[in-house]
Amino acid sequence: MTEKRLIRQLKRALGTEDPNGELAALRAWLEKSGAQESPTPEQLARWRELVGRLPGLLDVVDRAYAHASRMTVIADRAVKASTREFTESTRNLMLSNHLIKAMLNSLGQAFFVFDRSGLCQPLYSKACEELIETVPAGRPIADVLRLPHHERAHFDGWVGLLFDGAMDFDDLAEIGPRTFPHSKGRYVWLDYRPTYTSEGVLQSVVVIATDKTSEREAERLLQEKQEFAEMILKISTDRNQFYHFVREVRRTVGLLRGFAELGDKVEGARELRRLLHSLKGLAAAFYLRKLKEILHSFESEVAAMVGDPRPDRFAGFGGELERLLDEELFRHRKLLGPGFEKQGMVREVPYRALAGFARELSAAPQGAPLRRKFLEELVAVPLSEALAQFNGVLQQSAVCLNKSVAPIRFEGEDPRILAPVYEDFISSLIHLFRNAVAHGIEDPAERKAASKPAAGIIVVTGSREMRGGQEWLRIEISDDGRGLDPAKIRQKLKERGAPPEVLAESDAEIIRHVFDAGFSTSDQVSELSGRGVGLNVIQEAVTRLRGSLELRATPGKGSCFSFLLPHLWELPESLP
Amino acid sequence: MITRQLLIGTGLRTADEDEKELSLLAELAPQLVFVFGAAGAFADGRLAAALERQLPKSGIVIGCSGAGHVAQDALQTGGAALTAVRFERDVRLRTSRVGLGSGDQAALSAGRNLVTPLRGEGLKGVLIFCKGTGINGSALLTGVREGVGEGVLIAGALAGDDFSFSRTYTICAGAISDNQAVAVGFYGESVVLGYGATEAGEPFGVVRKVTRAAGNVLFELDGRPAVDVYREFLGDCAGQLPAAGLALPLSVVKDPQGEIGTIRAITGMDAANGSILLAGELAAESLVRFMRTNLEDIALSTRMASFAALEERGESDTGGLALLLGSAGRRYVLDDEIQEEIETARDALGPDLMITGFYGYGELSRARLQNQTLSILYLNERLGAGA
Repeated sequence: MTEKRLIRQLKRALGTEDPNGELAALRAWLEKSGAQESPTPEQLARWRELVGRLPGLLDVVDRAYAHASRMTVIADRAVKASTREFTESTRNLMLSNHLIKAMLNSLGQAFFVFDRSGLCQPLYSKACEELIETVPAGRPIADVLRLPHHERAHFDGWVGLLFDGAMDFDDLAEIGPRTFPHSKGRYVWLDYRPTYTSEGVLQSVVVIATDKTSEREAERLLQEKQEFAEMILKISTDRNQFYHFVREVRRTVGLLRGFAELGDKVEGARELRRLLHSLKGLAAAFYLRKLKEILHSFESEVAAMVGDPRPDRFAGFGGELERLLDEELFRHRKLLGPGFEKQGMVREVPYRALAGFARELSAAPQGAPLRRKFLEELVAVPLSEALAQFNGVLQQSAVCLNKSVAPIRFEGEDPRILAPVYEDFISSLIHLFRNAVAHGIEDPAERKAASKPAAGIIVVTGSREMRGGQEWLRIEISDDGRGLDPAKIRQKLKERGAPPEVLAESDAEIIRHVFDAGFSTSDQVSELSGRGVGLNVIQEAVTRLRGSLELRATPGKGSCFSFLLPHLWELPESLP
Repeated sequence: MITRQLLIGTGLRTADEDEKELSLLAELAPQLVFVFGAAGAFADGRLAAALERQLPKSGIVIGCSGAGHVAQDALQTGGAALTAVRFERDVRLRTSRVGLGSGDQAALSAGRNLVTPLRGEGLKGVLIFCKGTGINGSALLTGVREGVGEGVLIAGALAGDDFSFSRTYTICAGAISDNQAVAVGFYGESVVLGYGATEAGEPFGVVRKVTRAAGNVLFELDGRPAVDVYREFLGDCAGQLPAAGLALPLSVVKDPQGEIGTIRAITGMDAANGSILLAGELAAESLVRFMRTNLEDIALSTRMASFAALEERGESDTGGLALLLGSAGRRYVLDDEIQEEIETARDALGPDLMITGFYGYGELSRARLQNQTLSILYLNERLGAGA
């Protein structure tokens, strides 16, 4: 290149590329400086002419040097400026790195980065020390994630695929290791994020480790709650199956106790194992986790005993099993109802079908007593059962009014009634119970001052009476509240423009006006009572049944509603 | 195809001798005469007058000023090089020229209006010369593309003025102007057009963001006035701006449309607002790097451009003309050594082509307006056809 340039310059300045070798000869002569061979006069003349053009050549060379020097200056300057810029950039990068690191360290998550080589880079967050229990910098990612040796080849393949770029990163990330085996049992979840070069090539992978221990605990609790709901649903819909299960457990408890003295130990152990296994399945079906677990451990223990049974352990199993079953039954006593185990299997039959059968019985010879027996024993329910529903209303009302009231106390012979006959009457009693809480029962402080127990007491007394050859039902509902105030009722009636003869009624008479339509003594209309509808609804229901009601009240001591209703043994023609 | 080349106005001959030489050229009865020369030769009305007097009215004279022109296989810096072409087959030519307004929209319409008259039966390619400073070459090219339609070769260059970035000239049909674009269209089955363009150089230094730009005006790089960044890199040579800026063209690493590889060279500057004028558009938000080049890169790219241009050359084709439309940036970096490029092109193109051309401020092809390339248009006629 330099030679070509020289030739070009010579040509430009001297007008020759020296094809005749004149320059070469001149050069040879000059270098030998005083050689033997003298140039010919022609040569000297030609050389003189060429040397005369030399300043032109020098100009050309000078120009070339000047240009080269200018370009060198620019290049040199560019290198210096670039170096300065890179230094500046590096400083900025270091600053950014520092900031990023500080930000990362302030997060609860652990961040670290690995590259194509499978080694972790020096960038990681402080939380790594706690969450992945190591400083990942410079270590192989497989070590950091504590992958067992048999999984490493597979993992290396996965890393290779990630950096290969042939498959979607997110899809691949899904199949990477998702949890970290934390030595203290923390649940550490792993996420992967790609970082790409400006050309779109995967450069490194950021691993984000998040402590999800509490989230998982919450999930577990939620699942437990769901299972509990499932259990309630299952027990209430498959009540009879549950009953069967309870009986089987009881039988097993009995067997376990019996096996303790059994002779044929081996066969006994086998049978016991089968029984435990099927019970375990049932317990699982009812989501009875504790029972299932204990049955499982019994089963395993008994399995281990086959060939060498140890009946002495069985009685212990029985006791444990019985205790757990009773615990569960107690836990669900409300759901199961009183006397669950004594009742045995139950079956729901619509009232309509019962009424139809009762009618057929009346038509049969000797049917009347049978019919009565059928109605009394199978169709009728105890009064207490029919009114038990109001306990909920009572408690709800009490909570709303910051009062306290005890569950309804049932006294007397608790006569059986045909619920559909008294349906209107029973539903109308909601007003009575609400009123009792709203107006009768005082708030706890007032009750304390009156030396009454903090919780108001409501007593329902049921009895049967014979009058004029007819059966009657007497139901008295009393509370130990402040009683009705005749003066207040009279005042109210006066305000409503009641005639003088009404206002002149005795205290016992005047309080009956609470059953009047639209009557209310309350100064405030509340959600619970005071709208003046309510008690008259009861009056109407009683009238429809051709019964009667009385109201007694002792100011400061309480009120008592006493109903006398025909005790009917005829189901209505139209039933809901 | 018969070609003949002549250098005039170089001071080696008297004006009368030049006219005599011109008349000899005219004897060829050329249909097309390319004129490339120094801006001074165009500014001097005598060139136009001599051409007017000596060349036949039937022929087309087209060309422009450059930062050096190519004739007799050498870089020429004075006078003008005339290359006459006579086609022996049915090759038709048509010319067009438009005056230029200011603004990007004007450049776009000028491009469209320049080539629309050339559309017609058998149009195979258009060759465009446009003034080299104060013009948005990208916008002009967009207009040309719209105007000429698909399937027609587009080649051309922005004129130069020996790095003074003041007045660049174009000539067409006797009209010389420092504010016009000219074009010639080639028609007919016989005409052979080949094109190749390859850039030389590699990006260096940090990636910079174009923080403010409009059309072909670059205001800011990384939030700093563009001129300041250039001054910092040029140091003592900053006094030679804008010419010195040719040593540091911008290579687009990525623009908002995702384009990469575009190169933008300086064609002027506005010291008042610190902005740089570029040959073509550079979108704001583009990422750019400075670029540098050297003799080896340039020689390599010259060979590649030559081979690409010759792809259309048939086995039996003889003669023909190669138009070297070189980048002033290459010429600035190599100075007189650009001769190396011309010799390399000669080696690659073979001995029997006529070579002419010039170094300008931007190279036009259908794809884009580019800097830092050598683009070569190969022109010939195929004797087998259309006789």
